[in-house]
Amino acid sequence: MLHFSTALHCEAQGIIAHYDMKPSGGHGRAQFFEGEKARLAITGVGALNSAIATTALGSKYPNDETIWLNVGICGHLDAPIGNPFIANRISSNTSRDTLYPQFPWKSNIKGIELQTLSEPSTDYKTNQAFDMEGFGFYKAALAFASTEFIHCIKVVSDNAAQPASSHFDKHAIARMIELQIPVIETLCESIDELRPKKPSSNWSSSFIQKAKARFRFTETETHQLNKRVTQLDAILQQDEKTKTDLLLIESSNKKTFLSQLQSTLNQFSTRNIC
Amino acid sequence: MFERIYIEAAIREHPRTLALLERYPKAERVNCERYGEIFNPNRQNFRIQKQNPALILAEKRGTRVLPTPPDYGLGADRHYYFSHMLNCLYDCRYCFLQGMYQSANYILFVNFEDFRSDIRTTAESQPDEQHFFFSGYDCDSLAMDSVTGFADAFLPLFEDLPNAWLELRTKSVNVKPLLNRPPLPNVVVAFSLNPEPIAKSVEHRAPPLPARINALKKLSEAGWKVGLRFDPLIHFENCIEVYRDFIDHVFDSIPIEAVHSITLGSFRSPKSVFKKMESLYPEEPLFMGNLDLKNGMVAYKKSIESDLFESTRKRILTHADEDKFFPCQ
Ligand code: SF4
Repeated sequence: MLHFSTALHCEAQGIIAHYDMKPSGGHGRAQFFEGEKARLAITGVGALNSAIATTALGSKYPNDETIWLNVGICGHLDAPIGNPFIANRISSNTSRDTLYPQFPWKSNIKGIELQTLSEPSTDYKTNQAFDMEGFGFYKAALAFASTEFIHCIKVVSDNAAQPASSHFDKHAIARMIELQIPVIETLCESIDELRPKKPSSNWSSSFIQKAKARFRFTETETHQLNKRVTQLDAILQQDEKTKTDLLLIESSNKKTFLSQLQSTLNQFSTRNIC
Repeated sequence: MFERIYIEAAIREHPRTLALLERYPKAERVNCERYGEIFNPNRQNFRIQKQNPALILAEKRGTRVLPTPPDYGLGADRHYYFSHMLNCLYDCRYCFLQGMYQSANYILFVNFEDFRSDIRTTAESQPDEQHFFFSGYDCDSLAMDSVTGFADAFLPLFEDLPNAWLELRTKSVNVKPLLNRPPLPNVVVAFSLNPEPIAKSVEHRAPPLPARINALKKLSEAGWKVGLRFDPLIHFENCIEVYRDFIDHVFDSIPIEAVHSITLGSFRSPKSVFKKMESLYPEEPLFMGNLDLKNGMVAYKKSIESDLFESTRKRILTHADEDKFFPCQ
């Protein structure tokens, strides 16, 4: 699942259309949209608004397999208007922390240092882009994902030759972001490929369910049950899983049952090491 | 080789930094104040980063040369370790680095001159004693030598420190930097070895066993002292027989006169490190069974550990004298 955050509606509209999202409520002034593959929060301008809406989106839709992307416009000294960047270092004029998103893949977007400012500025700096949300978004998203899965993609909307003015050309911004959607999709594919495949099948979930119906487990025992069954799922052949099902019938109590699971693990892990 | 290089402020102009940046002109450069800003934050995934780690160039401050724990020695008066790098090119599933560090990015401390000067000061402070310096505790000593130039930078130091010994601990077969120079009597090139089935299935990205044995052979033929590190012993089906044949094979391949020392160690891990390794690799059979937690350490159940350890110990002693053997249990 992708979770986008944008400050403005014009930054969001191409993404909403591309992922076929529909309005799905909101939080304060933030608006949420949802589709089959993606959700999006329009957060309003500023790091704090971005952080609040990001936290609200993450809390409303808990999912540990989400990619978090802040997409929006930025200022840059001399990069052409419409150029996309991905932040490789994020700082803020209101915090001493610096954040370093991690990219363990060959990025299709050029990296840049992003500084999040609390006010709009035309004081462009060499080798640095600035925006007003990235830092707040990133800090908040870290509550829901590790740094490899959180990124800020910024498209240059103004530079020293064409500085930002108080008047936003919303259509131009919408078009700029829209043009980057293929690049964003490729990026998301690269990120998704990194994710280790979860070693669990239908067998483990149905076995755990049956076990829970047969015995009443404490919290610690539930943890042991989940862990042992998931591990067995990773190393047992189908016929061995069928035999393991019998443990549920044969074990007279939950203690024996859990220790039988561990004995099975002791036996088969040794075989599977090499 | 590196998509991204992080550069710590203090060493931005260091000659080794400049040389590395010149060598990797296409790598994206990111400045940082201290390497810990990148390396230490919690919300990182070691397993994912391991697929393509970045390089962090940093300065090692504070204590660079540390005494080893008391039971970790090779018969010298004093033993120390130092780490010019953190993290490793290889990806052994039992490696404690993955459980210890948040990040799989490589840190290279470029201020080799400070390490050298600390080693010299340490050795010269007690000239009548023998000092043993282990490299390759937080990395593999030679695996990234083509990047770091570690061997060429440190071997000359030991040429004129007669009371100091250096151990290069490695699985790398990149031994050219050693073969290109005359052997040093106070340097031990120590190879970590496990039977081929383990090397194949657990020591990911590391050279296969035959290649390591071949490198050992070449080094011993060239007059280098070599070390055999049978560590960690891994329990698997028929492991006692497999380890027996493996020990025979290693000793049949290398002249015993070239062997400086042999160590033997069981698989052990502090609980917190183990928990992290297990959560990174929930499908890894190595972490699933026959283990016990005792005094904060995860290890094989007593009987399993001692059967394997004892049988391997005995086999080693059929090939080597006890004075070369340093079991660690
Ligand atoms: S070679 Fe050594 S340092 Fe490198 S991954 Fe393997 S155990 Fe760890």
